[in-house]
Amino acid sequence: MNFFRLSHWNPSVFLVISTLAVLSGCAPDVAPQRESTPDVDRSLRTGEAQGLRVFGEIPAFSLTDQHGEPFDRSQLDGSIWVATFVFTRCGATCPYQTAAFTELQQTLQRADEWGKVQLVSFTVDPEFDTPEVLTEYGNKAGADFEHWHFLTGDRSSLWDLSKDGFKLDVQSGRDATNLIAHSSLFVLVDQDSKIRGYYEGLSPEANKKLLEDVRELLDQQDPTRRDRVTEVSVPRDVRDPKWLEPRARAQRALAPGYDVTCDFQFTDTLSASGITFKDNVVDDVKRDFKAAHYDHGSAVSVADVDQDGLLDLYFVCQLGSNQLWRNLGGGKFENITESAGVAVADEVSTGASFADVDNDGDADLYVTRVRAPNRLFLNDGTGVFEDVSEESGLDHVGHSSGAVFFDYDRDGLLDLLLTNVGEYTTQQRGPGGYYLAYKAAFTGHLFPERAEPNILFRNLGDARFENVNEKVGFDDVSWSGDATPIDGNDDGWPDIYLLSMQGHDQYFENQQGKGFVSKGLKLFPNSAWGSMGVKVFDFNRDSRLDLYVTDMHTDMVHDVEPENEKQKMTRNLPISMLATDGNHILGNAFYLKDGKDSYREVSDKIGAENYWPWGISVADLNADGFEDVFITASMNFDFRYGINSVLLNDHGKRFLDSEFILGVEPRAKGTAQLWMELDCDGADAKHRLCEGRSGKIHVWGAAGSRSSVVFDIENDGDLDIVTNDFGGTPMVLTSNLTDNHDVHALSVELVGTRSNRDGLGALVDVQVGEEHLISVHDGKSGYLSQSRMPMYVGLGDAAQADSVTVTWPSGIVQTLPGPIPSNQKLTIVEEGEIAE
Amino acid sequence: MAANLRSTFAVAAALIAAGVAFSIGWRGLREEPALTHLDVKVVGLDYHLYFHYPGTDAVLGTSDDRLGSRNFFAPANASVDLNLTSRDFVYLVEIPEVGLYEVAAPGLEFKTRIETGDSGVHSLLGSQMCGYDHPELIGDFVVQRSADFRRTVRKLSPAPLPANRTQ
Repeated sequence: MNFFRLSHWNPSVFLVISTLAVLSGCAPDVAPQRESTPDVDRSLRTGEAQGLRVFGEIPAFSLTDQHGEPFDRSQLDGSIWVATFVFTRCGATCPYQTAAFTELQQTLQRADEWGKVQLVSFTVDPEFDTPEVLTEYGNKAGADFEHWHFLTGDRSSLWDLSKDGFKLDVQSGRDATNLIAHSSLFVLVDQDSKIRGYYEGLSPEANKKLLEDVRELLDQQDPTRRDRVTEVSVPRDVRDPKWLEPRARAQRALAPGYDVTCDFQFTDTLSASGITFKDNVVDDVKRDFKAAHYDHGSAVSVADVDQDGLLDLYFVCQLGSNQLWRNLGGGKFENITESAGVAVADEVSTGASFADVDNDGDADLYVTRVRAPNRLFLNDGTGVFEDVSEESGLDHVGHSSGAVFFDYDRDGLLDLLLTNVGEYTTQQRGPGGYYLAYKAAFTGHLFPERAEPNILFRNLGDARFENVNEKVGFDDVSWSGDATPIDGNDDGWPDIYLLSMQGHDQYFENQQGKGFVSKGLKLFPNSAWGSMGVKVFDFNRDSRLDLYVTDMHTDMVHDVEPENEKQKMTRNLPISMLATDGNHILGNAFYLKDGKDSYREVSDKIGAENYWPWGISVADLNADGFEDVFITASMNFDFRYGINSVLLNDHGKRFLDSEFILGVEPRAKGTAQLWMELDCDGADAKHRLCEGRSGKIHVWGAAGSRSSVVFDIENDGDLDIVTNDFGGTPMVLTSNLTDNHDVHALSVELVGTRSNRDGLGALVDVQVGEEHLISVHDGKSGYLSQSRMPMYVGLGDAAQADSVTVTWPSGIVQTLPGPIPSNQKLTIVEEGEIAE
Repeated sequence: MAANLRSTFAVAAALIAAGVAFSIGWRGLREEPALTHLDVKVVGLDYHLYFHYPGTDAVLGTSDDRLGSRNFFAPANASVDLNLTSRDFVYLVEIPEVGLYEVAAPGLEFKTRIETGDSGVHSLLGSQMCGYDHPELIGDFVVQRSADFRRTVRKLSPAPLPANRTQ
């Protein structure tokens, strides 16, 4: 019998069982030897009208518990307890009484009140109900025997206790040989063994009152409880997942066998940094959790906004002010949001992209938002920004997401590809003024009227932009969160790989700046269905630029156990929901470039899979000449914890899982964060987490990152990582690589003259001996973000580069002859003639 | 006396035989054919799955429809056409035994067909997509002989009128 599945909450069950109980006394063979009922007024049962009055006192008793150990009343002294009388062979009321006790146990456990309150089930069938039988019975009921006791003893003792102690109706004789006909009442007893209430065990209402009265007694016992805050973890082990440490140990044990530099550590230096930013998220993904695109979070980007040689940080959040933190050097930052004028505190922000849109040599900023005009800020060169959104033509209103600056027509001006998710919100506003999401936001892509076009804006000069979708034939309404330029056909013109978070990714071939042709299914016939992050880089140093795509939405469909995170999902959603040809990679995709317009998917072969991934940051974390990967991950409340991934590049052959080895995991701040506070006696009384709880509760949910950026915070020669964690505080993961190693690397800053000022789209080839370390300068790092920062090229053991060749978007190919000593910042100004 | 007894027994035997024959014939006349096809509408609402069955008129969408929840009943060896939708969230509906894996989503109607196979009880795994766990969405897929299925459906509550939100 599964007591948990029995429901005594069904009124018809209550009526039928109550009737049976009355007719049969729950003991079919009972002899009609009715004893007189003690003189106790239980007419009110719960004493509701009289407060918690005292009905009598439980006398001392000595019985035997389910383990065969002696159990007497003194073991309950000081505890509040609830008693009932049952027997294991009973098929009438007892299963429902026991099921109600199981529920009560669970409710008390959830509220952290278990132990302060104990349960006692007395048998009325002592001859049959031996300790062994009671143990089995209790196990089936899911009883925690530490605080739920099943007691037996000699018949007369139990009879006396039932009738004289608990003052319950007893319809069988004291010396009879049949069962003791028992009551289905629950009896509440206080810490002084005083009876404080009777409750019909089969009545849902009475049991609710019982719980209230239990808590009233607990409050009387400890008045400070009234101000208590109960800690609730969702899921229960989220603050200490049992799988995490064994996994960490297993990974660390592999480190000695790694043929890559991995003997360095990242340390979270947030508190020392002075950064106090906290990501405030909307209630749709917090208090009133629903699966909606607000859970994609927001960006973190970097740029040297005041041109002091240090990279500054811009954090985006959903509610309240975005924040710009100026790098003071030495790992310290100060908040300059107000003076910079980039708070964007109204409405919900999502993405942030730094780029020099007016070619004046400083970092301008574009902020995307949800159903509010996107904002373009021009920098005056000192870190003070002017809002030129309206006149720029970039004040698009939609459900905007990632924005990517690149020069599609190679005219020397940065154009903009703006991705828009699609209409996932209703007309109603929630707390803080955000638009409430549809309850079924993730079917949005099945409603054509909810689609929003992704838009290509051409830069006309003077920070004026024009939507050229029609002019260039860029026609796409994918539910997209990000995109990247990529030169698939090696013709020097940037093509577009556009992510679809709910469908096939798209690829648009650039027709030499004059138009675009869709070739997605031809080049990438089986893309990931739920694409989220993307980065182009040369994985295996074959001088071809490969493509890495993370897939988040596929991972949302089914739970994956921690030990299976490196495997693909075994199935996706039904085809009706996919709304595609169903030909998808069920997880991350890694396309190794074989040649012009030719890619080979190798994600499983090289270990590129992970779980719940968002954005990708690619950088040479150990400066060995092969670019590594940091992937933000985890889904936050109410899912289990998920780790961020660090994939060290094993000489272009495969990725090595290294997040635990390098100290990135477990997060120093813990696997969970305080997600929300609920007032179960007040405004949140109807919240599902307040069911069975009272007072204030603090709900803990999993920590999770969304966006990240990898750069050298302190200019000490190694790369650090900063994240924007969803609904939480960021991580400032500072590397100590240069403390332990003689690192050889070059920092390369490009200054375009004929090309766009930032040199975005330039190919940089650092030659070291026979090796060509190719990188594309695209500013991409992390989800929803674009940063303006120098390129970092690790040289491995080489103390110098033999040459650096830049292929500019203008077509100019410029070579700096070597030797070029490592550990310096090269500023390369575009010059020369365009090569044929 | 003996003759009278024989005569009485003969009459009684004849009456019994006639009664038996009538009974068999009546049952034969009354026995409804096995169901080979069924239309069912599945509606997700408030973390429950509701199943709308055709009533005695065998036509879904009429006033004598019946409504069940949690457990899904179907006749054995029949084709069942399911029409799934939802009034609030997105629900995944799965019966591994018969290969059902479909979505119930608001504003959309997804149609699918299953073949029920022999009588038996199988798992019905409902879930809210990307949401909390809801034990109420887990139930049984009960495949019954046609006669039993008819009896089961007759015992279900009348389905609400189309204006009702579970329709």
